[in-house]
Amino acid sequence: MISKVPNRKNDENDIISGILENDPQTIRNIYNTQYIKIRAMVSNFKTLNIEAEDVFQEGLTRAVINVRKGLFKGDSTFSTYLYGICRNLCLKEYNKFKDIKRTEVDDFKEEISDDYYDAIQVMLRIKNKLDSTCIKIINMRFGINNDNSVGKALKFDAIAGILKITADNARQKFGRCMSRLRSLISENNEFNQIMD
Amino acid sequence: MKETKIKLIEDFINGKLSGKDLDSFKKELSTDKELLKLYEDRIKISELWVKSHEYQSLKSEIGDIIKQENKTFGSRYFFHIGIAATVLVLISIYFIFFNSSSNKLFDNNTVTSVYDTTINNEEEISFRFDEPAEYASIDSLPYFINLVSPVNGEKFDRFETIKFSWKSNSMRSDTLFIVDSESQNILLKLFIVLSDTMISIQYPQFEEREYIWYISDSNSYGRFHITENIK
Repeated sequence: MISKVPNRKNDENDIISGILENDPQTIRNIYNTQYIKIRAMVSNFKTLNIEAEDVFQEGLTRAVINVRKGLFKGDSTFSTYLYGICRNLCLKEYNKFKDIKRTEVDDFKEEISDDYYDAIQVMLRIKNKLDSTCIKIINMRFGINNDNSVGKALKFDAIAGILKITADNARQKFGRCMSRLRSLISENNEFNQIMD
Repeated sequence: MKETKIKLIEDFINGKLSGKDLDSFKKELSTDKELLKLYEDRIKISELWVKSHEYQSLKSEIGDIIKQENKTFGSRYFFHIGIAATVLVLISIYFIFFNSSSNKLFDNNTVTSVYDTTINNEEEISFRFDEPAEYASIDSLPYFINLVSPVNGEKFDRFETIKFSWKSNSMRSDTLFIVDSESQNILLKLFIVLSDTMISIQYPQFEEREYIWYISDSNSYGRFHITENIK
């Protein structure tokens, strides 16, 4: 007969250090232990047409970013923190439809405001409107390497070497791409508000 | 004019300005509002570009891990289904083709339930067997139990009916445990059938505290609170 309570305490230090070390097994463990609760929470928002897996993926991305920025203070367990982020995502979506002024849940406050992630979403939509050559040149100029890691921004002669063009040509191409990027940004009111 | 300023900014970022040109640029930044705005926007755009890239890469990595986990679960599940089906077929073949000791049983080519052995005479013992399918049941396979509610410390008063719900692919019976969270003493053990997916109880003897509940083979537990009066 089972008489003992299973030890369900998360090792918070293991989770946090796993996230900081970019350990995929930590992400797997978080998914296997936390997804079911979040799915149950999302299912309570019956009028929303959102997938629990999408909410979980977005919530976990934000939680990991916050941990890596040193913004997760450890006032709650990581699972509570993740749950709170996911719940706020659902509330935000819900309030959009209900046209209600969004209020954060009292017992939980994210360290990074929604504006930060809104700005990121806007930038991603703008990026999708650029052609691949522009994205490549801008990536190099802003320090994003071919393997998607972020390093030092490249100078025009280094970019020229990679693209097998002259440095002046690289500068001109970059100038045209940035002009296109600025033009897309100026057309986007949401982004302009964020930039201000 | 604006294009000149943009070029100057890129030269500055590129580290191409030096000496008088560098001093002049820095001075202009403090006096020329348009130049300052262009410079600040350039910095903000590059920072946000990089941050959005990092966000997208991370989200994509997490998405890949989730997909892998779903695939692994699915293939493990179907692997075990395949094993069970094979076992079922083999057992059926055994009983149909190889077990000829009970001619009486198979005269009508039917199988009936077992009660006990009966001895008809000194030489003959006849047996009757259970349905072969009962020896290889889907319930002997690995199965999942996912607790649905209450899981997050939901509050109830002690006179309230509490509905415990779960999801499971098993048909078997099991035990639901309710435990005092602090002392870890088991308060209640409830007989359940997993395919029912819920059980409601009313237990006024609950005290005002936190409890946890789980089903014996679930790999997680739920929490709920009993309060004196929540209305």
